[in-house]
Amino acid sequence: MTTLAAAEQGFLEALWHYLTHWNLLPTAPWIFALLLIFVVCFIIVNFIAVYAGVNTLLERKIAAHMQARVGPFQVGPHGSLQWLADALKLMVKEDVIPKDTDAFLFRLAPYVVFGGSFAAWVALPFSVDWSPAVMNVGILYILAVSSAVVIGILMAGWSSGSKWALFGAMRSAAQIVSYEVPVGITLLGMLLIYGTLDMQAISRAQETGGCYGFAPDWHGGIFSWGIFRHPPFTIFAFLIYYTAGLAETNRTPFDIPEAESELVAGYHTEYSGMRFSFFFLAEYANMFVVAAIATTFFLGGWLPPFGHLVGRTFLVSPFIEGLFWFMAKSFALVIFMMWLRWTLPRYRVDQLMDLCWKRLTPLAFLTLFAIGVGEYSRWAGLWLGIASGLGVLALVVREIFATPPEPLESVHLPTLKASDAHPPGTTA
Amino acid sequence: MPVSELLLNFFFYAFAAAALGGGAAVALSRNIVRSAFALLTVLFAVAALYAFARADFLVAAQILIYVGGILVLIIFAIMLTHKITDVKVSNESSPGPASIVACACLFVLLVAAFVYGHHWDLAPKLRPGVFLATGARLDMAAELWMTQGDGKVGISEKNPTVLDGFVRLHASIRVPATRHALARFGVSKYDAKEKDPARAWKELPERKFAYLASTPQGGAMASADFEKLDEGKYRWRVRMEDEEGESPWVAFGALGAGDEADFVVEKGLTRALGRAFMGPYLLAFEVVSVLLLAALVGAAYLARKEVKE
Repeated sequence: MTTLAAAEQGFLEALWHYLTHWNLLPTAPWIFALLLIFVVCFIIVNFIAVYAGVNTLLERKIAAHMQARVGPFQVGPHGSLQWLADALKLMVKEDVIPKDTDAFLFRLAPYVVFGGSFAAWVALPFSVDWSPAVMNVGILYILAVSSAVVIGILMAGWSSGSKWALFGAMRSAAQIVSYEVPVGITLLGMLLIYGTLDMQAISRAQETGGCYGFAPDWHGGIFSWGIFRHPPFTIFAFLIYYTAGLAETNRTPFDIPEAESELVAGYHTEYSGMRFSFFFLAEYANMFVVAAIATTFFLGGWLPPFGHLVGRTFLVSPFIEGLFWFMAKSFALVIFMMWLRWTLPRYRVDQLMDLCWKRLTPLAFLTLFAIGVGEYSRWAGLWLGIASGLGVLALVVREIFATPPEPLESVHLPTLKASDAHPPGTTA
Repeated sequence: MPVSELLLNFFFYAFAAAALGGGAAVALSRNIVRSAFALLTVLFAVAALYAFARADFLVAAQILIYVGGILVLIIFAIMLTHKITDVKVSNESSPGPASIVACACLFVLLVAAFVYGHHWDLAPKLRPGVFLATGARLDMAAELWMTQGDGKVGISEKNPTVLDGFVRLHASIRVPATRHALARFGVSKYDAKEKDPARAWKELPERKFAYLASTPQGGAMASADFEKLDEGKYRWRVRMEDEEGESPWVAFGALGAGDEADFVVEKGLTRALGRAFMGPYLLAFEVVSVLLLAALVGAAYLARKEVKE
């Protein structure tokens, strides 16, 4: 049935036909094309806003339960509507623009950050053969628009007119730009395996395959996922990517740019009300994008961990089933990010940079090299994997059975005398 | 691809205006920080213009490298400069007659270089068809050609790559069209995994037909669109049919075994770029890598901590 046939039955039928047939945009008359663009953007932005709002509540609840308290409890049953109250509060707050600011850039910055974070959602492969925008260069597009966030942060920090905001913005931008290197290198290693930049094709490529490229037609379920393709290097790649992704989104333990005890609130110090909520939502949207990319590249995207054909279970349709698995895996990673936030202490900024450039980047290059060797020759990859696996095992065993270091010899403090309060030569 | 022209044109002009307006803001703004942020608009608008040229890899690469790297660097440099807003911008002086004349000459030179220097492949190339069989009822000499995009873009002869999976096949015959005469187009795809090379070219199940329309020159022509073709190598052929019979198949180009194709479908620029970098342009790629390495080493050296003697 074509759209014209659907349109004969009415405008709503034509609209529904468009929404469920993503490939029709090119043949549309311009009014339908514009309408479709608007409807898709409307749905996506609202979904992200609601998701990020609920995420704030989830964060507070997880923090609370990890700290042996209950968290928000007043608004709604068990505090479940707290996020609505927070959103309303932020919306009705007075819009304060400090005097010393560049007003135009001050107003523009939240939108640039928000735009960069939200634009990345259109290329995520939410379900079987379905993502809001089908792109040949999916992952490259996501990495590209995520770098618009850096510009927005710098804009916010500069236009706030306060040196703390500027320092926070500089640190945040330096951190994000530094950690983009391990992110890019690890994803590049995985791209060697998949051979395409298209996110849907990457998800689909994890339907079949075995370790090191053996048994390429085996439906291994969870064992065909990206993380098991070249063990232990793909496992390292996943861990490096996840850690670098934590740093990209300024999450603890890498949240020095927005830590309250350090820089008041970093680049969003001077923002209040609705403008602040944009930054807030952009951070949660970014977290989901990082988790979604990790899911797509390493954990099989929308594929179920068992069985090899979507749609053979009791759930409604392949679309819903794929959507469920994708969201479940991404949410698990997001919740793990929140778990880490309330567990780990913060890195100092020089330790953070040291970790990135001296430890994660060389490791990422190592994984890229090893995956490249594995892709070139399966047996070489197998031997490399076994050898490095044994090496890692040896290191772990050594750490487990290592004797604890000798305690430091105690420092002998001199005993204090009354005359020490006023050393000779000074007046009382 | 039969895209809605109006919407595409509107967006093209909007992005072009954004690029020009942003460029004007960069050059003419009194506040140097605003100049730097206006560069963001320019870079994004140029990336969008790349999208109109169907260079998908370049869109992402442009944003990733220029916005994510170079613009960040420029902004860092501006923000770390002491009292940058106190610097007297030198574009406050009004341009004299000499500079205006020089700019006008440069503009005319650039436009002329574009229009007359480059061979614009706008008119599709006509090729005489290759007959597959003889003994026809319809006597025809057909001219076949193909276009992509919105029908106005030709396909290069040396490297017939179709970038969207959309191709429009045209056939024109010298004799006037009889009533109810139609042209039937068939496309076959090369199956690289097929062991028997004689059967490697598999005809696609979808054959399109188009009624022949009379042309002012006294002949007839027809065209058919093939959309959403997968990546691969393709050959195509056409024959004329009417109530009384069919003509032999006329193939566009090569026949027989082998993988010589009439056109090749590639989804996007990435694979072609990769092949170019690892093939003919390998030396250039490596030389540029060494240059970037030198820059990296120089930057690290400049940023080092001084070791006190």
